[in-house]
Order: sequence, then structure tokens, then C-alpha cells
Amino acid sequence: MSRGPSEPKPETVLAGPLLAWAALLALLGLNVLLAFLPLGALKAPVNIGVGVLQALLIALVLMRLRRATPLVRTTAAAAALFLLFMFLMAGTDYLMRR
Amino acid sequence: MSEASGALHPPFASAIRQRQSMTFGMWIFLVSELLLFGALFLAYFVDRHLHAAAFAAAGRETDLAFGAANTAVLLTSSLSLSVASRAAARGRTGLAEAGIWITLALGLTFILLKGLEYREDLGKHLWPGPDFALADPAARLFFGLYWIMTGLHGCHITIGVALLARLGLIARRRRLLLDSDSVEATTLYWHLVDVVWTLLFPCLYLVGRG
Repeated sequence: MSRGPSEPKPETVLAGPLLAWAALLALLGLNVLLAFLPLGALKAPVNIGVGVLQALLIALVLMRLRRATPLVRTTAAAAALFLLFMFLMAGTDYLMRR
Repeated sequence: MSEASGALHPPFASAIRQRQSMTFGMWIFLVSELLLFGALFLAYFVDRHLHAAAFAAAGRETDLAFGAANTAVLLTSSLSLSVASRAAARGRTGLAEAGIWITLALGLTFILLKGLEYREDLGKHLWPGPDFALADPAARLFFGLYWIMTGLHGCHITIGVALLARLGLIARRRRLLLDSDSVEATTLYWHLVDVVWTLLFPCLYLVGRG
């Protein structure tokens, strides 16, 4: 069966998920390691940042957001947007207190 | 393939439309779940900002081994279910069914490990009640959030396990291809539960280490 130039490659059954899983486990190990390093004030953002990276990997690869329709991707982005609003607005209060 | 539903149901005129609607609807639900947990995460970050030292002291009391093991279990369960879903989309129902049962087993493993961890936590008096182990009142905030966030997540895991059992029965009855929408919906839900845990893990298990 030949594909047109604009059609995406068909999904792999094993390779894609396996690669994502290996990366996720590696990130888990890295995160635990980083937690024990003297990173000072950077430690929290780094640890949570790795968690966010894992979440993005799951969302884009395993939940197939990379291949989803624009409507679905916009919906997923709405979660990030509204969470951002909530954290920003709470942050303008709590982060500004003396 | 994974772009169309198996069996067509009214009011949909096409299998592709039905699948698109299911995916869109599921994502709206998943967004609402992210906002639900997001509120708890906000409470966590505000309290951590206001009581950094107490959170660090309290965070050291969580069992990192249990937390890391459960994270690995859940990540592996996402692998098995992702393979199952992709296999089902290709018509490979044998591999799909195997993946579903493996995911179910890993979900039950998560629940078992969580139960053992809870038992250990209660033994160490980490329930923020009258005989709470830590002196700082703000440590109670950390553990209040710990029990609520992991408890709510555990409820989601339990629902996911029930959905996986349903999928397993659908597979046993050789209806996996007809009900491919169920495969996709369950897969999306399970991955979201995994996403929430990957964000919970650094917040609850990597605080105050080193």
C-alpha cells in the first residue's frame, strides 16, 4: 500500500511505546538522583520539571496528541492554559506577600 | 485503523466521525480531571511556599522506595496498555488482550503497594490526627495533602482497574474490534491517571531529600 506524501507514517505497535517507556524510566531514575544533589533553590523546579517532561511524553506519544486533530490538541492545551491562569492568579497573591 | 470506530451507533453517520467525537469528548473529561487535581496541586504549592522547612521535614517521611516502585509500575502499565491499544487498531486482538490483562495486573499491583505503604505510614503515625508524629503544625498540611491527593488518585486507579476488567471481558467475548471505542477511551483515561502520578511523585516523594 503506498502512502501519499502528506500522510503520516503508520503508528508502530511496539517500538514507539517501548522507546517512550525507556525514556520515562530513565527520567524517573534521573529525577530520584537529582533529588539527592545539592541543587539548593533549583531542586524543586528541576524535580517538578522532570515530572512535567514525563507527563508531556505520555501525552504526546502514548496518548497520541502528536497525531491528534487540531480540535483535540486545542482541548488538551486548554487544560494547560486554565491551570496556568489559576497558578498565575494565585501566584500574584502568595508570591507577592512579605 | 485507529481513526475509525468499530461498530457504528446512532446518531453518527460515519465511523470516523464517531471516533472523533469520542476522542474529543474524552479529552474534555480528562481536562476536567486535570483541573480537579490542579486545584490540589495549587494548595500544595501555596502551602509549600508558605511552610518550606516543614514541608521538607515532612517530605522526608514518605517512603521513596514505595513511591519510585509505584511510579515504575504505573509507567510500565501505560506501556502495556499503549501496546494493547495500538495492536487493537491493527486488528491484532491476541496481543491487545494480553496487553489489557498485563495492565490490569499492574494496576492491581499499584493498589497493593499503595495499601502496604499506607499501612506503613499509619504505623509511623503519619495520619494528621491526635498522635501525629511530627511536631510542626505545618507538617500536618503536607500529610493532609498527601492522604487526599494519593487517596483521590487511588480512587481513579480503582475506577481504571474496573474499566480494564471490562475491557478484558470484552476481549474474552471476541468483541474488541467492534468495541474499539472502549479500548481508546479506557487507554486515554489510564494514561491520564499515569500523568497525574508523574506529577504527584516529585511533589510527595522528592521533597527534602539530600
